[in-house]
Amino acid sequence: MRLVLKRLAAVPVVLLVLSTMVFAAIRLLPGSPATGLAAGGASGTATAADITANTEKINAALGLDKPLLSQYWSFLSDIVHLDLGSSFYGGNDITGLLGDTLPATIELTVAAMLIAVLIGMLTGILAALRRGTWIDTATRTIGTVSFSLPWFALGVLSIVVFGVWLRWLPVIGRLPNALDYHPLTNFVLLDAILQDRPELIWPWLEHLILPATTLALSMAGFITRIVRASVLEVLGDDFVRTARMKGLSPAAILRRHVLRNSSLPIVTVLGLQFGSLLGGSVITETVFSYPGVGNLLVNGILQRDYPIVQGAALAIALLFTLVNVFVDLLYLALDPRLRKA
Amino acid sequence: MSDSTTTSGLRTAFAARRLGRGPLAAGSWLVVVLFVVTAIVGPLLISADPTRNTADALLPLGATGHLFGTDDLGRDELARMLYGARPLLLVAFLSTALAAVLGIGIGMIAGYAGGKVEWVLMRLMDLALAFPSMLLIILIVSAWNPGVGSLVVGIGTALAPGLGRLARALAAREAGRDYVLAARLGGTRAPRILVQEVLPNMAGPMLAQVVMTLSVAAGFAAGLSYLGLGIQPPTPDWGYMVQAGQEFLYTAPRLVVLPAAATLIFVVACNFIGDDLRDALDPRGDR
Repeated sequence: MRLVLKRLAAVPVVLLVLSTMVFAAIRLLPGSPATGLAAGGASGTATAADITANTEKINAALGLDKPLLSQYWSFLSDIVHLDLGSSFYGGNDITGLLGDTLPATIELTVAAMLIAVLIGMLTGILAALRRGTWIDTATRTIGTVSFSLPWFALGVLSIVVFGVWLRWLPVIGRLPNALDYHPLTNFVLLDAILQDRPELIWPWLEHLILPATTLALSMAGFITRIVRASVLEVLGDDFVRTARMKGLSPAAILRRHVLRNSSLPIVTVLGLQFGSLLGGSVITETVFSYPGVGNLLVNGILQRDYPIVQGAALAIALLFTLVNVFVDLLYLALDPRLRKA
Repeated sequence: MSDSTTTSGLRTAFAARRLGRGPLAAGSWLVVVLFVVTAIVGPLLISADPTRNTADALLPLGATGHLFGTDDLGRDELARMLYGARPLLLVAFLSTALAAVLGIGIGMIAGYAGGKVEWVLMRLMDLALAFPSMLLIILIVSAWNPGVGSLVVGIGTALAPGLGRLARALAAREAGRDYVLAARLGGTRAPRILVQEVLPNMAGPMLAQVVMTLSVAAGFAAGLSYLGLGIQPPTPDWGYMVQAGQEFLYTAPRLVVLPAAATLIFVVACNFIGDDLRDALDPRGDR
């Protein structure tokens, strides 16, 4: 319990560090956001005088004309008050935008993790049980490849195959436009339960499969490798031999002993790779026009809408921190030895 | 030169003979070399201009005079594919080089110096590693103007800490060796020791890791130009071509499939040659 509290107490510190990095990245790097914004803007044509005038206006709006320390202070206090300003184009409230998009990203990344664990476990066990055969070699080779697959290429190719050629799955968005969906929590599954609308679930899953699998594959390779190694390691252990002698069926041995022992390294991979998964979600969401935070971030950058960029970056950093804390807590739950330490 | 340097040199020479064994590794080397050569020479062999719009929009594969057809603005797709390889390869190689210089430089200094210098440098690296790299790159690129330069700086910076950690570990190991001590006693200054003595002795495992980084860098480069944060149109670029082609998914899927498949093949091949190098240079490494 003390460890749990200690871990939770570290969250604000980590968040402070991450948000400081977002702050620094936007303000300290050469090239003021305002000049870029003023020059590019929506139209892309601006005279030198326009640019200077716009730069001042934008700097004032963002508070970039104030001293750095006071900027930093108001930046932090705004975050604490959940006031992230409003978008330059359209003037939407950023906290509201994040409330719409963050749940979509959480759904996508969680689904990707589940798929990755599923694929990784199945292939890892298969490779270990068929060690030394072509199945093992093929699984490991595919695992190696999957680390480096570029998400956008994988995404668009899966769109072409499953959406365009086979026409099995929808390839754009999160839910069909025709569907009458009034978000409550913005988590579709939760809303389907709360609003008693089971008909929402299938279209939602259908839209989730391709982007989540695209995202999952790079993580699955790591899990395959780990599961294979730990199955091989555990299979030779005494307690497995004992279990076998007790007459436990192979499936029960696998479930009770082998998988339980490999769950810890799997959780480690999930934690370590979550940052890269979030990075991948930025691209995957764009490929599938999926309305998540990554999509918001990219559109913000392309339109040079700095409050949006800042807000979306903060949201991603927050999600990243929370998942890492969750992974640490899961660790404690899975391994009793750690609780005593 | 000390004994250790000689054996390491021998090891590298032997390692080179172990490269490219097996069809996968050999094929991957072939693919990477082929892509690089095509990107450099390919555009010189054809006359079509990849940026010239014509009235012949969306001609199919194999159309007369346009082997790969044309895109929505009537531009020759073959020419665009050949020219479009250049930004990806350029960004991938340059950003890997930047990451290597930064990472190995900082890592070696940290590992060799030890103490407070090491502590500070390594905490900086931890900080960069704790931040999702894609987010770091996107923030750096968006603070400047999208383009090759900002992509190289962004990707190079984000990938440097990974190499830095390995460089620190290797340099710290070498720093305790007799030949380093001998050089120090002989009055050689630290920068010279690092470059002439330590660096050659960590080159093998470091090189393998750098090539692995190349495939990651290529993945990021392609992904970011897909998002529109790379080289700007009308200059052809595979990543951006995929994005632009998505509009014609149903009428001309080849506009998406060609550049996407090419990117995929290149990145995967880079990964395999990194793997192959690691097997050859660092046989004890994890496998």
